[in-house]
Amino acid sequence: MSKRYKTAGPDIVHEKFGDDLVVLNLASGQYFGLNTTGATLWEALIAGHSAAQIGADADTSTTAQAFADHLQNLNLIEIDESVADGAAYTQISLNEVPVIEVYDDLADLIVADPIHDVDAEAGWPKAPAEQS
Amino acid sequence: MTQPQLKVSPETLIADIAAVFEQCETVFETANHTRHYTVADRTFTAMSDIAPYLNAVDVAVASDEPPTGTGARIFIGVAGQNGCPALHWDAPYFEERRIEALLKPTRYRMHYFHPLNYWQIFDRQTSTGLQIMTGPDQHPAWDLGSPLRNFFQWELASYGGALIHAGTLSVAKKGVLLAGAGGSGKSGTVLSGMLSGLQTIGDDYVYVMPKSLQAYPLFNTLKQDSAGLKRLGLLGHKALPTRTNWQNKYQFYINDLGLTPQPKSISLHALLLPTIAQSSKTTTVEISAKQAFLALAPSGVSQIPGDRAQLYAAAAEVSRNLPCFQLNLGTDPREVSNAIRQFIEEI
Repeated sequence: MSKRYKTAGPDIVHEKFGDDLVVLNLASGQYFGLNTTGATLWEALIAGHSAAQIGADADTSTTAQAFADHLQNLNLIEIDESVADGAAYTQISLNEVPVIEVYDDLADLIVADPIHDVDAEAGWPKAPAEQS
Repeated sequence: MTQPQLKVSPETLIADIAAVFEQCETVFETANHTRHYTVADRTFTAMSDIAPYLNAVDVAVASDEPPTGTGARIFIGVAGQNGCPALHWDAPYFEERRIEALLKPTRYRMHYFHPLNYWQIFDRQTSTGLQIMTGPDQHPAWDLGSPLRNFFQWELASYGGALIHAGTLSVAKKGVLLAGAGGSGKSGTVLSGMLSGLQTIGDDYVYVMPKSLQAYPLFNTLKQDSAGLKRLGLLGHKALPTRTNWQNKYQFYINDLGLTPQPKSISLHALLLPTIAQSSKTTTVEISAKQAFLALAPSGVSQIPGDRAQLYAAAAEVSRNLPCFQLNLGTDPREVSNAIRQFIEEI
């Protein structure tokens, strides 16, 4: 059975910039920049379409599934057992490799959570020395 | 009289917060000092028995308009004094994001800084806020640079805008946002611009309506290290305090620089990301909204608890709606300011 996905809870938010996309995990503080292909796949996957549905050919489906696995490993999407088979997605062909850029440097700023992690001398949002 | 200690627990959070507000209802009537601030056309009434704290708020908050309507009311008190309860976080950890998520669908917002047992709680339905400290000066070191900041966000979020962590420069109420992490040159660029005749509504936080792209001042505070002040010829200026703040920066105020009054609002026409380029001439290079967003959003989202998703969305909308540029800063402050003036006038 083809796997369907949804965003991994309310901590995962995203914004579109032209053809690109930025996903933020509010819980971890990590940002993820997706290129045009990545954004296209993201939108199709979180709309509940399986990798098999997305691909116009076997290679595209394979790429889409690998991308979905990557997103799942990054805790950005999770399998949605509740989605039934729906109308087929307009199948796409990929002109470039989907890319996810991970911005970890921001996590220290956002996470500091629980706030016991905050440096009591320097204060928010500076993380304590042993973590920075 | 001994004041009660109220427990606040993640398991019973909503009921506990409601109980805190119920307990605190009388403190608004008995507070000895009341101040009104008009921020982004909304009135904030601060009540407290701590006159020095309110004096510091007076200096830092950008407000010289008469109050308009009742607006929001905020009590700033010391736990255990004059009817103000002591609060106790009744859990091993305070998980900021978990609490934010719990409160998101509710009328409440809160911030808790555990090392000082410092609380800020807000009821969006009644526009009522409580800031409870363990002593008159037991606030985080950075608090007085942007006092009541969280309350401003929590209240003003209802009016279509959001606090944006950025500086501004403007000419005739036509302006630009300057965004970037610490060390990017943002504050120095704003200060240099002011000294060269440009205007500002703030160098750290401003309130922005992402759709109309109108921006409003929140704070008069400026911060600069001694090297930056020296570069701008401001070392020894009477506006400077004798001691630096927790960041080893001098914290001072726009109104003390003896400049012409700053605007009450500006229209935004671009988002600039200053970069110290060490070049002889200041230049601009157009960048994508995505690049600009990645510079604009993180620090603001991280520094204002309670509304992270909304702040993220607002920063995205601002980035999409404005042309975005990297600003490669030259080495001569006057040249930088002239370049920005020309940029604003031409855009």
